[in-house]
Amino acid sequence: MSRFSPFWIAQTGGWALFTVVNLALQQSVKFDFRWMVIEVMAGVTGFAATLLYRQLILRLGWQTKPLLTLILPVLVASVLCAALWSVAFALIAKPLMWLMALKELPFFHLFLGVFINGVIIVIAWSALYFAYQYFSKYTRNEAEKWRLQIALRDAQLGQLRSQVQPHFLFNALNNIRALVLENPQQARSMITHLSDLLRYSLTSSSHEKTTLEQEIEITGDYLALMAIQYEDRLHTRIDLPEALKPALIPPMLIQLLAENAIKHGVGKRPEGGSVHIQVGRQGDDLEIIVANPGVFSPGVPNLDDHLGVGLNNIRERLTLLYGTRAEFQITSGEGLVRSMVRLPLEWIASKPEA
Amino acid sequence: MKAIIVEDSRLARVELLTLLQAHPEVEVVGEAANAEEAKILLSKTETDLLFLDIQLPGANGFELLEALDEVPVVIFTTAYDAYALKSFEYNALDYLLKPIKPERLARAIEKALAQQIQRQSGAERLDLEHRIFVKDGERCWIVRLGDIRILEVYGNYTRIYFEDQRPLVLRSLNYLEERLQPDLFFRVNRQQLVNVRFIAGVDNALGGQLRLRLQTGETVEVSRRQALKLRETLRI
Repeated sequence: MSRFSPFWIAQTGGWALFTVVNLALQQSVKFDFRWMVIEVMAGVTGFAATLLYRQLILRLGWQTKPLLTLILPVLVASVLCAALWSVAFALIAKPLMWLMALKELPFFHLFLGVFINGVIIVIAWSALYFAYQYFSKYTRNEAEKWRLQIALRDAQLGQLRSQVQPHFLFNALNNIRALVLENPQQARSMITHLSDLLRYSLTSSSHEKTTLEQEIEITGDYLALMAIQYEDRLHTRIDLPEALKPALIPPMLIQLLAENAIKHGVGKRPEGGSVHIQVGRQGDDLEIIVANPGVFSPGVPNLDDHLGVGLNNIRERLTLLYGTRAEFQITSGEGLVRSMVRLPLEWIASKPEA
Repeated sequence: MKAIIVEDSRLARVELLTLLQAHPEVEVVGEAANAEEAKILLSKTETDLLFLDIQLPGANGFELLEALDEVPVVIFTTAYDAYALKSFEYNALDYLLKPIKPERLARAIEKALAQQIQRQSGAERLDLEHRIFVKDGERCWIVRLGDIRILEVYGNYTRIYFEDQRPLVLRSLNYLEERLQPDLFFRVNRQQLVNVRFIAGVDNALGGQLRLRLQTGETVEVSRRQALKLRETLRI
């Protein structure tokens, strides 16, 4: 431990203060240089005795034990420490007094003179020492907890990374394979849509946000690929006001909502259906609504469990990124299921608020 | 071999048809985009082979099979389905992953042809060669009727015993009894139907009842009313 650690500053400063106060009290009664030497000796022996006491504490590992279990051992140790201090003082003071030709006092007198107050002072010393230990441990723990929480949030966000679902990917590839013979031009454009979507999914990180403009473009790629799977069973519409294009949202958010809407509103219905994506501004919030035909029935077990996972993914990401300032709701009525996400409006750095 | 394709994506059907051009032994006699269409098609058309996508709008592929009284040879086609693939670990159903590799398709068709030949051998045993689709929780089987030894009432369902499995079928015992040949599956009491080919011996029990010993060591009580009928059946 460095000589300038909080302990050494407090130990030295504390005992210096003790000595100064002691001197002031004694000398105000009757000034005598020889008595000053004796008083300083009391401070020096106290300094030394508590250092030994601290060694004992460190050796026994008391600083890590619960405070309540320490009360009795500390009281006993404090008395012993005060006794050690008093003996040391008496052993030094006795010959000094003789040397300086002061009126000699019996050894026992000298011992008691320090011991009575000494017990209280050492107990006070212990109280300060353990209070400090406890406080610094607490702040260390708090800092550690905080650091762990940030690490956990990062790890969770990393896990929640949205990716293109394998089921979708292989169906798209299978459809494109048939298109290559049937309509080569369309097959080529589908490969481009798929590339854009894959690139976006592979490179976007869940820690960063993306612009609505880009997210909608990628959702468009996704919908184009779904259109060759469902053909005339799928109809889509996207409403995005020009002014909101530079607003920031978590990547793959709208894509995942659209995927959910298609799975339930189109994929499960032989007659198909339409998916309507609406982005709007509500005060300082951004509101995204994705509607599909159907009735919302949470908790119904189905073959593709990843969708439930996908919706939880959205919920968890929103909580990790925005806390309570974001909202995610699924409601149903009039034959439609609406997924609504509301989150605080944020803009890319260069763009001033509209 | 007459085949039907059940796929909800038109392009996926086109793709499979293209791949099947290399297999003149398979004749595609119909296509369906969902389970409902498939059911109607199967009831009207004689079908040996079913190419079946698991994910379908409305009822899925498993539900379609459960609704059929008799299951043709089935080859599942799926893009990626962790759940469905898991259920195949337990039995010998064949499946193809989309996009389908031509060699993999060739092997599946070969297997289907072998299965069809096995089914057709011996006309009198045809009934025992019928197969039903059974799904219990996460597991599924295509079971040969001849392998079932006991069918037992379980509420509105029926528990079937074959090998070391006892899954539930979502049909009543009465429904199944009507569709089974009475000289092959005998109603021994209110609760149970027994496959007569599994009977190893008959013991007399108290009160004029009979007790059947099966080859597997299981015993089944025969009600007094049915005991007489059983004696007649076994005498023949």
